[in-house]
Amino acid sequence: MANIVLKTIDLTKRFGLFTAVDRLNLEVNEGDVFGFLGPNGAGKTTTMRMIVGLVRPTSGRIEVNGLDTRRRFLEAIAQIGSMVDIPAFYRHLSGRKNLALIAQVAGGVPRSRLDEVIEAVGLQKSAAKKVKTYSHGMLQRLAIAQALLTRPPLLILDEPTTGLDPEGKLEFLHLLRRLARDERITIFISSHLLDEVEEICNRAAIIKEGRLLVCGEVRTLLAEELRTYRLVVSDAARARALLEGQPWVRSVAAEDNRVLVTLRQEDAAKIAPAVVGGGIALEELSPQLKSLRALFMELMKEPAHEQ
Amino acid sequence: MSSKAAPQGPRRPLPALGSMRRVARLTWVEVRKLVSHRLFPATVIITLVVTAGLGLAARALTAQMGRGGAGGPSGFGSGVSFSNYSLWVATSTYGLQVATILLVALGAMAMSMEATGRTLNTVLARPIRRVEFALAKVLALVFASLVVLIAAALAAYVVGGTVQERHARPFRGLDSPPEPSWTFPSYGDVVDPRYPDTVIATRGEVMSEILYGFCLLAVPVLAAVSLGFLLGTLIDSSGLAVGLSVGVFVTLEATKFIPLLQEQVGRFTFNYPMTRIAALMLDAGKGMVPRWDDAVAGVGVSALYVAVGFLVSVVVFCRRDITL
Repeated sequence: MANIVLKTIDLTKRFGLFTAVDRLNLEVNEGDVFGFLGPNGAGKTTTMRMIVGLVRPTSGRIEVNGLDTRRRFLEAIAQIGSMVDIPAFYRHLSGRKNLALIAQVAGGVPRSRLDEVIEAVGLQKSAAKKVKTYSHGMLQRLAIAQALLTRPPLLILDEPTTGLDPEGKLEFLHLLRRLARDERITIFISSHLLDEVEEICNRAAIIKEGRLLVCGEVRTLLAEELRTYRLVVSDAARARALLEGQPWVRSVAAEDNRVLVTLRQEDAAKIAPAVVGGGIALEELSPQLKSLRALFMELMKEPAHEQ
Repeated sequence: MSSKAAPQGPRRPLPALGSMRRVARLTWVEVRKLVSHRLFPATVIITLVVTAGLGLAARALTAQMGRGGAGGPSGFGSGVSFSNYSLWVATSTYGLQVATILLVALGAMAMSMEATGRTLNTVLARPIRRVEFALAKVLALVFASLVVLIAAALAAYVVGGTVQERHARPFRGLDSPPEPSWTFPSYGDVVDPRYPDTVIATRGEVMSEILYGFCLLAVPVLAAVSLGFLLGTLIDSSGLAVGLSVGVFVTLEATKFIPLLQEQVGRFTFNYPMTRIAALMLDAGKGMVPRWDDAVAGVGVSALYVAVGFLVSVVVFCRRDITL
């Protein structure tokens, strides 16, 4: 059984009357690239801030490698490298000097480690330049470099690809994948972009309004109940109208002679009889490989349930 | 007979010792940050230039007196001349008052710049305690204030040293006009102008009193800095924090120009103890024994400001959520 690197137990944060995170229970295993999904304002950043000690939980606990962050904060936080929100550095200093300062704050980081992390993120050419001249992509890389300084077993990244162009995003995701593989780091990454989570994560959780909706293996999440089927029919408009009237259909979309219908997997056998029984010729019926996006969009439509 | 040794695990350093080490390390980081930022070197340079400039102006005034002039510009008052000790004390305290405004800004920026630049997110997500980080900031500001104080004292000392005036001046008008020259240093024993062989106070005695005065001056300077630090901790926008801090400081200082307020509010401002201490240092420069007790109330109020300002800042900072 894999070690649990990060665990939140009934983690709650209230700002006045507003509950940003509500009794959140998460487990991140060693070696996971764990995607933490949710729309803007879902409570992802607040959760991450609580994990790294920037925000105090109202109630609940956080454990990093079994260490309670309230009781053994220094030991627990020493296991984490983080990038929370937009990467921020001292703009009047070079990238290398920023890393040197942060290394000194962290303590116990040998000078040679600076070169290693600079090389790991591919910033060798620009490390001597002042940070104020850096592009957004370079800042993200520098943020990863500072997070890696202490060789942490757990990396926490809050929406790390925000502001990157598609090419930069791919490059960045590739870098994360390489780090997870080569440095054997557990990565906890938040995002509101599903495709990138699908791309690199093996496990994921989705939260909404501070509450956990789903948590598990990405593959399992993809294979869960709701499925989308593609139908090629003689009359798509009629087929759509017909299917929309069925109580077991969740959603229907039609285009040309194709209809996309989403329903519970166990109801799939009802599609063909319903369409054919309605006098519509069914030429093809095939399951679509459902993306996490579809699942995400479905979950976002539902109100957060009581845990 | 054998004695059983208690099983020993790996020795863990005492938490307090580890904390002190981290504070020392963080203070060094904060000092490096200060030095690398433009405002601190600029503050030191401005302090040196202003103090030396004031000193040279006073020296020129004294030279004019020596040549039989009627006095200097009205800003200094007619008939005023300076001994080397009085020039040292007067110009350094004036220079320090100007520098204090910049130190207030520096205090306000210490925390608010980290908030505005969001670097708090990067630094605090490290194995350090908030209280250690805040203490390091305070210690770095104390260091900055002392550097500025020493810069003002040194600049004025160098200029004052070029005034060849060894006479005491408790009896204005009786002594001979001073004779500035570029010989340095000319600080010597304070003698009675009527009986030049009579030493009123030795150089060592005067120096020790004046240096004691400089030590006391650090308290109101730090009080002003703590005001900036407090507002900078409460306000995340560095521009607003600096503007407000300097505004409050200048407003409080302006009360000395309003006679009614001067009496009622004056002694609770930063300027009051500075002026009192400077006056006592001037007395020491004349060979008199300064009555330091007169400065106790003002220094005490300033010390209270320092304690409350820094303590409240640290407590507020440690309790707040960082949601930048």
